[in-house]
Amino acid sequence: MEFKDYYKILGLADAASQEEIKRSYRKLARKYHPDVSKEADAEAQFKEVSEAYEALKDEDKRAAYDQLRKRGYRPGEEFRPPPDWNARGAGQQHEFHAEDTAGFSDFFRNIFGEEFASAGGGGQFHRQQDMQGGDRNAQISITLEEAFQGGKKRVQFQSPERDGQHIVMRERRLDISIPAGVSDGQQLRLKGLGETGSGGRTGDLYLEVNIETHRQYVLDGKDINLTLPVTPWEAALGASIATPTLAGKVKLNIPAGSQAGNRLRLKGRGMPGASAGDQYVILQIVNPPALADATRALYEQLSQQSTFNPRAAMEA
Amino acid sequence: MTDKAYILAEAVVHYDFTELCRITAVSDDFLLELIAYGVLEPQGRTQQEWRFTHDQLRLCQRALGLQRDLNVNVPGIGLTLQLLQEIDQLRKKVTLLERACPE
Repeated sequence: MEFKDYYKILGLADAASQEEIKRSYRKLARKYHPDVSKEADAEAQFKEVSEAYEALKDEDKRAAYDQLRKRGYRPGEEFRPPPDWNARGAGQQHEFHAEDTAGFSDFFRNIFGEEFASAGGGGQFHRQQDMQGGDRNAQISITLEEAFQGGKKRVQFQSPERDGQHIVMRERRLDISIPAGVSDGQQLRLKGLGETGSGGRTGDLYLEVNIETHRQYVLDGKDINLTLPVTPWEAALGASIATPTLAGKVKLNIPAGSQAGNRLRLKGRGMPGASAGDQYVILQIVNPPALADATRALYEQLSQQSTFNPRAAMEA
Repeated sequence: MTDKAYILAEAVVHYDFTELCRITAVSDDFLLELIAYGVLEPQGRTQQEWRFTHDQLRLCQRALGLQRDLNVNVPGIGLTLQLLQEIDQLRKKVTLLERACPE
């Protein structure tokens, strides 16, 4: 396992006061909180910051960690607890308070003791472990096409499971049939696939659907947005354009005199369901990259004959 | 593989009060407070009739995280979630605009 420098994680000097530790933790917790942050890897960062705070906020625990750190380990360096290091002893010697520590690293578990590290439910795991009645929660990712069409899919996900007294994350694989038109964030219920609780009730498995970002379409609730490139003459004269939708191409009539950014609606072409969404098409006017001689001559003719001034309303 | 091997996944359309508490592991009191402050607005008039959408379930999970990890109180949670929602909307608009005007 890797040695963790909890001071470095919280951006603190060795001699930091309890006040400084608290302040730094609060600041970083706000920055990386998975419910707020859009930082890449926010959840992992948040867990690391919480773990560092857990180790340093308590004077006794901090003293035990400081002793170990003085031996000169570098962050990320391969770490084996020294033979004379007695984690259990450290756990008994000091009164450690187990709080939100599930999901902490092997390093933490090793130096402060297993029974301590797994005592609480914490962070993102908290929600899943605390589910009553044997229900279980997990997340799956599917493509927009799969969400639109529904159908059969083999899904893989991490699921918290009880192993004796501990909760461990296990990789699970299931072949499921997904209904057409599921929304981003919607849950799929798989009856009877939860855990059998102490009361004898077998719970359900809830899979939260995450719809992956699509290279072409932008999903907004049940509606779908698409940017459609058109030529200047298609926009000026109007055109009937074969436009992609998730159900295949459909003819879209662009009215004459269309402007860039105009939004056209394809009713009912969004996500299917009791109240199907719409597809919105946003026009983008694209000029040919290099003008062929013939096109150039036509543009020159237009330039000589047109009196249109798009800057007429501008002030000096 | 035969159809039998595939397990039918049912899309959950809404949750009642008890289901929402069970799935998100929030207490009745906390959920009632979120409703009292208008952070969550279920459909239906009485507690028995209340129905929550999956978006509200997600809001409820976020609210719980903000309270537990950042010590935010309920009015603060309401404000934070509202701002986060606006940021989400703006991000979607930015994505669309960026696609319409590639550099």
